[in-house]
Amino acid sequence: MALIGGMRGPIIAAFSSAENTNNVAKQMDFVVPMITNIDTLQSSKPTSGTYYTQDPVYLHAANHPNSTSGCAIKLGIHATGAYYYGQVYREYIYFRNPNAGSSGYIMQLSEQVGDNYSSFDSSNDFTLTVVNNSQAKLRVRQDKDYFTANEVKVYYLGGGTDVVFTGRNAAAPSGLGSRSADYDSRYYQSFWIT
Amino acid sequence: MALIGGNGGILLAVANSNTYASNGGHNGSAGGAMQFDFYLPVDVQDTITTPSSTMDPRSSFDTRFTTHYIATHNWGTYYWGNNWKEWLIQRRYDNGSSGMHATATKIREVIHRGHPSFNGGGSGDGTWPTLTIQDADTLQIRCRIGGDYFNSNNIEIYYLGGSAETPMIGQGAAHPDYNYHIDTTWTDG
Repeated sequence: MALIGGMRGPIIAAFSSAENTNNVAKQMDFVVPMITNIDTLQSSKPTSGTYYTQDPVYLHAANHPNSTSGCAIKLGIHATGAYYYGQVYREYIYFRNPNAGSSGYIMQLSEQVGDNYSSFDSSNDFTLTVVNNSQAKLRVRQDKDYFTANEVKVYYLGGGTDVVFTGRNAAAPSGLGSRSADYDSRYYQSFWIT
Repeated sequence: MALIGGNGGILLAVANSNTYASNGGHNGSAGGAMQFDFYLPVDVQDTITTPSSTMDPRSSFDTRFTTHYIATHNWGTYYWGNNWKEWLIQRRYDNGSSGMHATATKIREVIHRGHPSFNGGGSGDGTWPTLTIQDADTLQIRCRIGGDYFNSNNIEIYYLGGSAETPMIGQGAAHPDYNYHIDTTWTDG
């Protein structure tokens, strides 16, 4: 999938209810970049070398071999209205956990309320829910304003599996691979019991 | 050092205690908490061309004073649950004897305990992970993880912003010289 924008705050999804013909709440399903592994990650992970199984690239590949892997992503959602005007911004964390008892869950990190007309706030119909955890598909529903006046934008703020590493060898074709099975010692992680 | 990619999601470190346990490094006899060190990017970005104008923010850019906004996501699969914490790492320089100094502060967090014993149990914040400064000169950070069964802890550390190495908007890597200029004349008062 493509992320719009490349520096900060790429938009993952957006909708406008301007074309709504029925007086019903508008909602939107979208897939977040959590099930797409970095293309070159699995093939470029180190397979030999001292303590290579503790290399960050190896560990990330091992932790996220498929869509059921655990992960978290941070989203910012801006819900606005233009008639009974107002705006609300929320930050959410979507957790996926490979435990068999987990179907995924969403937690709200923060909220800022804008300059709202009183009728805009009268509805609490602004939610983010999990539609399909294995597909990382979420649903945002927003009906805080008149049924043709609602808009939503979903921003990507961090996390997910579709991310890049820092500090790897930029000269390697993948940009992620190790240097002939010898990797930058600054990013070697050593573990011990505390 | 370079930051690779630019989608906004940058992973600094990742770990799972199962790999370590499988290697014979950990059998849970000492409680199950483990730790590792990682580094934050504190160099000036490679592609920045230092301008001659002393009014440009990149002229004589001082990397000793930096902030780093990062997130930790740890999860367990036995006493299972997930925990997201956001942190600010600040670094400054002291002209006196203490030299470089850094602090790590947790800003906020959310936690979901799928099992009531996950990460300290109860209803409060998660006990783990913790971040401490090991070396301010290199911004070596020590992360301690735990909270689940000894071989069921996982963590990812994401970079969210800050740093001397952040590329500036308006400067493309294809442009060896910056493509916009600050021409405001600065004056006192």
